[in-house]
Amino acid sequence: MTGDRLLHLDDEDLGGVVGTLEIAWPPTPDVTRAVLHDIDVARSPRRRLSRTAIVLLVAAAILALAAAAAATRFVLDFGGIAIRSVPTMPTLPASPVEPAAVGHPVSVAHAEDALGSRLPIPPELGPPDQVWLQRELTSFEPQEHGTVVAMAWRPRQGLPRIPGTPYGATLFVFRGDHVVAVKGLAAPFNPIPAHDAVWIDAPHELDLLVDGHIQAFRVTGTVLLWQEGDLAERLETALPQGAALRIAFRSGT
Amino acid sequence: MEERRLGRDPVGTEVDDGLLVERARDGDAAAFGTLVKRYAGLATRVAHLVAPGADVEDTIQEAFVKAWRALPGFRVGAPFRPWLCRIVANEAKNRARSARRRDALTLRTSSAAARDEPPSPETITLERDEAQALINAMNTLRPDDRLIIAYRWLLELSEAEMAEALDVPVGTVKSRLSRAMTKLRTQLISAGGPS
Repeated sequence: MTGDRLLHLDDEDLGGVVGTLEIAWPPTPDVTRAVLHDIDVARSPRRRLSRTAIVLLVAAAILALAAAAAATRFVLDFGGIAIRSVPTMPTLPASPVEPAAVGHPVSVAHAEDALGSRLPIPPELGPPDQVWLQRELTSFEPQEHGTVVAMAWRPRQGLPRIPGTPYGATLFVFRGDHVVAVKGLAAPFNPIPAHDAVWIDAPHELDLLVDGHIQAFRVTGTVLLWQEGDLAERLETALPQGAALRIAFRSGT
Repeated sequence: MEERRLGRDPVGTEVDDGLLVERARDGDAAAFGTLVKRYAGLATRVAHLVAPGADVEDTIQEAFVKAWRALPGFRVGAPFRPWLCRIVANEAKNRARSARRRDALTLRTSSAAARDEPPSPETITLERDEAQALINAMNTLRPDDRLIIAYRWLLELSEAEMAEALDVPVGTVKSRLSRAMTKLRTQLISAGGPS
């Protein structure tokens, strides 16, 4: 019998033994057709036209609101959230986390019921101190509506206060593929392809369409945007990128 | 040469990854389809390692779509395989977290537990109970530790590829792998040894 010989192997030899294991891998699904279909749908003329319509709507609205003459275009969209370039930052009220913009306070269970799925609460943050629901936030796309759940956590050790807000972290969860929020950036943003995410560490403008009116806010914290299934998520903190990524993508295990 | 390597699967081996990626970046969906066929098996294994029990088909389908969308940001000349591993692993982690599901311990040996072919003189032949103990220990590791061990020893990624897949420097790969192997050994001990 071999006894505890594995325990006495060095890393290289033990690793070699691991390499001899026959794992019962699941069968490889044939996803090629489905992937190519999704790619084709994503760049179909209908969708491009839809995005064009959004651009025009947003451009017109922003021009009306801020008299900004700059050409407005989305440089990225995350389903519920889009990013556009702006030449300069206008003076705006801080903190989009207020009932008029993000809905009414609800329980986690109520929000999950409205969203149709569990809330993606980061394990590192734990249960939120506040949850708001905007069930039918008006979309920038005509005839469409979206659902947004906003969560907030109070400052604590390791979670400093976001300037101009009473919170240390806010997480917006957008359901659906219809743009309900637009971020205006005068500074470059940083794509993080591995996470299908974008990092924004400069003050920027966040526009929410509520009851047909644009509400614009100045965002002072650092922001991470990403998609998770059919949810688009926006995490705002006063933390650096690495810490925000850990909050967003660390599993609960 | 890693940057222009051919896939391990015998699908589309006449065209290397680099050329397919270049074509895909230019909007050639068929070229991307060849990459999907070539790496679906690898993606399946990565997804299974990170989140055993999750819906592998959904996970890798979404991961490939995200890879397509991220192609404009893909560094020209970089190896595709570890970059894809990173996307698949992240997608699997996200899905596991969304479902609030702790990773199930579903890595399992085949009926024979170890290889049937005669071992080389340098190879340790595993007894069935040893193989099972090792699998059990692997299953008790955190997904990140299990993944780095699997990258090195089961999927046979080089250290450079592992660094790309994990988005960390090579030196960090070495230290993380060493720590993961120590944890694996600890799990074997705490389980009472393999015999």
